[in-house]
Amino acid sequence: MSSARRIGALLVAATLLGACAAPRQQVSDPPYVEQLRLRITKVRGAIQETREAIARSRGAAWLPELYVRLAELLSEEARYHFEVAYEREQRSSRVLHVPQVRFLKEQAISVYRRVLAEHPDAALADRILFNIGHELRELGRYDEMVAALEELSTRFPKSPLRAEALLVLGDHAFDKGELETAERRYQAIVSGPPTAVTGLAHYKLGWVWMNRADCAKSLGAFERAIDAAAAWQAARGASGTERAGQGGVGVGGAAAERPGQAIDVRREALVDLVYCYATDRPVAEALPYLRSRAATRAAYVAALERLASRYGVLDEAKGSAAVTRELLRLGPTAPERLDDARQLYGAVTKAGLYDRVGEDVGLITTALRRQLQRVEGSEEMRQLTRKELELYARDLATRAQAAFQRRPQDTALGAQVAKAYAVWLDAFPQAGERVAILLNLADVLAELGRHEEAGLRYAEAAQVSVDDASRKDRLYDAVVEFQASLGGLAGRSHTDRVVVRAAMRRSGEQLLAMGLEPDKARVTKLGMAQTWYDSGDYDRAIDQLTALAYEYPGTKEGRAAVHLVLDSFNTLNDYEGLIAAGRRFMGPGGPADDALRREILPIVTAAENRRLDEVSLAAAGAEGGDLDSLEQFAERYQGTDLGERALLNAFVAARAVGDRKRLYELGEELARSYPKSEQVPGILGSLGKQAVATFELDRAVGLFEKAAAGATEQRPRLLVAAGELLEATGQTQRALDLYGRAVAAAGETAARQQPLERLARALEILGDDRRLVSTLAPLSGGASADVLARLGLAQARIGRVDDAERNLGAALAAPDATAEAKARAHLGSAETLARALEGYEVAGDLEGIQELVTLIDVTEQAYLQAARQGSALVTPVALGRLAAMAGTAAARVSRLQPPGDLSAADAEAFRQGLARRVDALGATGRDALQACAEQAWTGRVFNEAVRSCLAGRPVSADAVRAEGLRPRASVTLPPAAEELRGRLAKNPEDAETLVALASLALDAGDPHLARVALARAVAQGGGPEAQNLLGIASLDAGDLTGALEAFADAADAGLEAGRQNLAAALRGAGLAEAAQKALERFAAGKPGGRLLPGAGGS
Amino acid sequence: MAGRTRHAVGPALAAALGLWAALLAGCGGGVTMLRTDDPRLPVEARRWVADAEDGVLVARAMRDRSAGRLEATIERSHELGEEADELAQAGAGDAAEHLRQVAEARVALARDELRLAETEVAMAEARRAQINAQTAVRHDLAVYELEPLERATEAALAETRRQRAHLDQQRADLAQLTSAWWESYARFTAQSGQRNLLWQ
Repeated sequence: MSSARRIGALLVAATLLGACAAPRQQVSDPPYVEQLRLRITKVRGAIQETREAIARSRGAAWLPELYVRLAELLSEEARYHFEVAYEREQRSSRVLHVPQVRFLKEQAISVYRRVLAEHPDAALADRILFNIGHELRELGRYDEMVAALEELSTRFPKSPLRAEALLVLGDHAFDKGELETAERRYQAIVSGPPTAVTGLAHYKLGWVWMNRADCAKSLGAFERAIDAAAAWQAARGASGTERAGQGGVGVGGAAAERPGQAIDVRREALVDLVYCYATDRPVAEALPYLRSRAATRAAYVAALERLASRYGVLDEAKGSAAVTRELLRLGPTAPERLDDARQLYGAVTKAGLYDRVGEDVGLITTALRRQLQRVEGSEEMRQLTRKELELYARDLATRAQAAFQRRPQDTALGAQVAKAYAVWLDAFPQAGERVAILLNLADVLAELGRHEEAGLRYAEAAQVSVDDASRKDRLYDAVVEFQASLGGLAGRSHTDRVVVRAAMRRSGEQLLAMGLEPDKARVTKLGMAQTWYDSGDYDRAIDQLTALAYEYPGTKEGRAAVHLVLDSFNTLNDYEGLIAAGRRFMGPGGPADDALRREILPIVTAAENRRLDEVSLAAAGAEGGDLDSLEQFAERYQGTDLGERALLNAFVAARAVGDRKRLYELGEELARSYPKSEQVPGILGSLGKQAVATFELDRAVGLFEKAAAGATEQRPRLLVAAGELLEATGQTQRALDLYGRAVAAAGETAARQQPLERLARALEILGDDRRLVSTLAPLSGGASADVLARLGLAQARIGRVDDAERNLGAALAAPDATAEAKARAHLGSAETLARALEGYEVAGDLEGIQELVTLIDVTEQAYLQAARQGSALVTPVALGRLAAMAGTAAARVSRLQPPGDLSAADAEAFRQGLARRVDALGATGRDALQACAEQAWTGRVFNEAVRSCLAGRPVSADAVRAEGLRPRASVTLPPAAEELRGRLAKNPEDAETLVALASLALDAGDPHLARVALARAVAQGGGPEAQNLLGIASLDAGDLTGALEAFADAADAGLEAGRQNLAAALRGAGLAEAAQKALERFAAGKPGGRLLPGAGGS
Repeated sequence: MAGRTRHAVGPALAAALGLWAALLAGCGGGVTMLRTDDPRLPVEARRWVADAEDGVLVARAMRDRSAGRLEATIERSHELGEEADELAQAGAGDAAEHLRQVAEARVALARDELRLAETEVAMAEARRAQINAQTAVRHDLAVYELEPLERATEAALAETRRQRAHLDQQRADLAQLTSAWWESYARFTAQSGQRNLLWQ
């Protein structure tokens, strides 16, 4: 924009603004008189027009209406003339002599009468009569007026103007003092249908009765007036004002706007009924009564003002108090409110009504404040008023406090007193009595238990106190109250709590700065520190409370501080802090005396336990394995129960995360530091199991033995566990020793059975029947069927027939005998018979031969009975032994000769019989041998007996024993084994890792370890490869039976290596034919798996 | 407020934490987080993923709390410093020195607690990445190289353990300093009769 254009624009704007800013011309309203004159001119024009219309309408049907209109226009002009005169006389009086008015009204009456005369049945007759009455009334011609309105009410009973006519007639009679006539007129209205003036008629009736001093009827009439007016309003939806007088419902409304004729019936009736209510009705119901009947707040207030005045006159204190309270609450701001306040004060003090003194003081001070805000009145008057009402308010509060002191249990009164004082303090902040009132208020609040408020008021009083001594007292009072309040702040708002605590600390600091006696200083400091504690700022609380504890040891506050410190740490879950603080308090130089030590020691101990739980939990959590903190804890509490528990928890945590190294270290540490601990055997036993799980077999044996040394109840079980490991490593002699110790440890308890059975089995493996018998026979009392069977069998083998029979019989009779025990017992019986058979000397007679044959039969049945028990171990032995016995018996029978006393024919028959018997025995032997060998292919059994049968060799009598292993060589596994063991520590059933570790051991020359590991791998579903490896490990360890059975299982599962290894192992055992048969029996399998040297070549 | 906290942590620690976070972010950064309402996942897997997510949120909340605690501790240490000055002026130089040491040790502890909290956030995030990746692989939703993720989690775990051990030692040291402080203060009040110096 160019500068020229900019200047132009500015000029235009300035011009416009200047135009806007020019002063406005004032145009005042025309004077009212001028308006009236204009109306007169207009209405005269209308009169002229109407007259002309009448002239043109002769004989027309509407002519009466034109006349009525003309009369009303004349009346209207008359009214304007009256108003002009009224204005001219400066509105000094409405009683005026105005000739034009009289002239025009008389003209109007003349016109009305002409219509009635010429058209007596005109439709507007009732209205004409009503208007005539109205004009006559205004002309002061009352008798004529009465006549006109009576005619209306008589001739037109259903006219809507009848009620208004009667009202005018009633009012006329009332004004003349003719109450009966007035009552009759009003009753005529109220007994008819509802109209706009029915309420007014009731109201007038109320006044009629009041003038007759009948308050009961008067009250009823006023109440009905209110109800009727309300009903009419509700029905018509009208505004709150009805029109009184004739013009209210007149057509054309000539009088409708006439001022001074309106009346609010509901309001007036309510106000006017108060006079009678004050004497006739109860005080207590006054307010609800008026409130329920008041149409507007203004009406209610007007009635209250009337009632207050009335009660004042009647000296009714309760009523005065109630009404003036309501007025002070609801009334408009006006000088009358001060009177209300004065009246309220007078009423309350006179009647001693202090139960609402707080509200009363509030009302009085509010009235004062509103009055002072008004612009009217001089400053001097304001001061006087302030002084007067301050005195009233203060006097009320102090009188009420005195009443409260007499009735301290009346807490509601106390609350009102407190409120009164608080209001006074707010209203008169500069008053000279402020300190005294503050202290009064604080005392009341303290009495009420509102300590925090009391404290604040005392503190406030301290701030305005003039001398140090009183200030100090107030501050201390404040501190005491604040301290008392601290426990009760829970339900208060956050702001309240913060304010109180801050005030407490501020007061305390001020007090301490002023110098305080020690006992008060303690209380003050405790309160200050407690504010931090209560607000949750425990760090500060701990610092201050600890300071207090050290500053005032041995005092009540010092002890409380110590407890609060510990509680603060406890709330923070800071057990470490609690322990440190507690130990510090109890330690040398600490503030705790013996009594306090006894109190806090359990707290500290509990915290130590919780801290241990916490540390243990962390070590076992999602980020577990952090054992350092537990070990440090254990070190810190070494030699105590807590230290022991810490080590135990560390041990459990180490086991949970599979930290083997730490596990063993912790276990040993436990056993070393707490050798008498009841937990040590369990821990060592648990470690032993861990060592078993990771195949640290020697360590496991050592741990079980150590655990057994400290255990009592578990000792037999632990020794057996160690013995079994020794057996698995070919150390049968050492195992025997442990089993023997286990049996001794078990005594006569049920726990004896397991070690005794293990002992019997190990003794049997050694193959020394005499040692077995000498060891077990003393222990056989109450022994199991398994033990008795082994013992009996050994006794049978060494010829102790009687003992054997007794023990074997007991084994068979045992209700819980296993199939193997029974089979073994039957085998023992068979062996006894076989031994008898061997030694049987046959007499040459027929009877002797018969006995031999019977003995053979019985022996055969005994073996068969043993074979039928279904024991994989005993069945082939029994069959093999049967075959052997059959062979021997057949040979003996074949050598028999017929008795000499037989005839030749009988002798021949005898020889033929013996030959058949020999054949039968031969067949039995062959069948038994074949059935024995068949066990290899049908049951995958390759024990010593089966192998003998496969080779066609006789089975020895002790083939029933399990085979012993070769002693284990000392071997160190390669480092890779550690990782595998670590994995197994976490998951002992990990078949893959088991096989890997076994392979490592096998390669390193430790087949015993491999055999144990592979046995577990197979049990965990390791598959044919694991079974095949198990066979190799077993073979290397000296367990031929186990090896063959494992290979057979692998071959049966379809592994070619198993098939080939089975054949190779059989060949190695001198069973070439069986090896060939194995290759035929098992189908070729899938490749894979380790082969024995020389396997797979055929 | 956050600025004050960072300043309080110290530039060296901040740099170390940044490096640590970068390392972990590099390890887990390529893992797409699974949705816990993914219909392809069974309920157990969703729960597992959600738990890892919760772990991160909890760790962050704990870190924020530690930051707030550090701030409060620093503020309190200033007050303790003023109290130490009062003590020194009143002739309790020994006690004043002990109090200053306590204040410094508290701040150092709070700083290291924040450091641990930061590390725990990093660990939770690394674990979340690992679990998401494992779950995705297990249910054929994605292909990840899991080993680096596992290493990252393990490394974070080891770091938290190291820091925790350090904190345990710090707490023990602070307890000793605190004992020395109160002992010296008790001696001073008993000898001088001045008991209001900590209450001004």
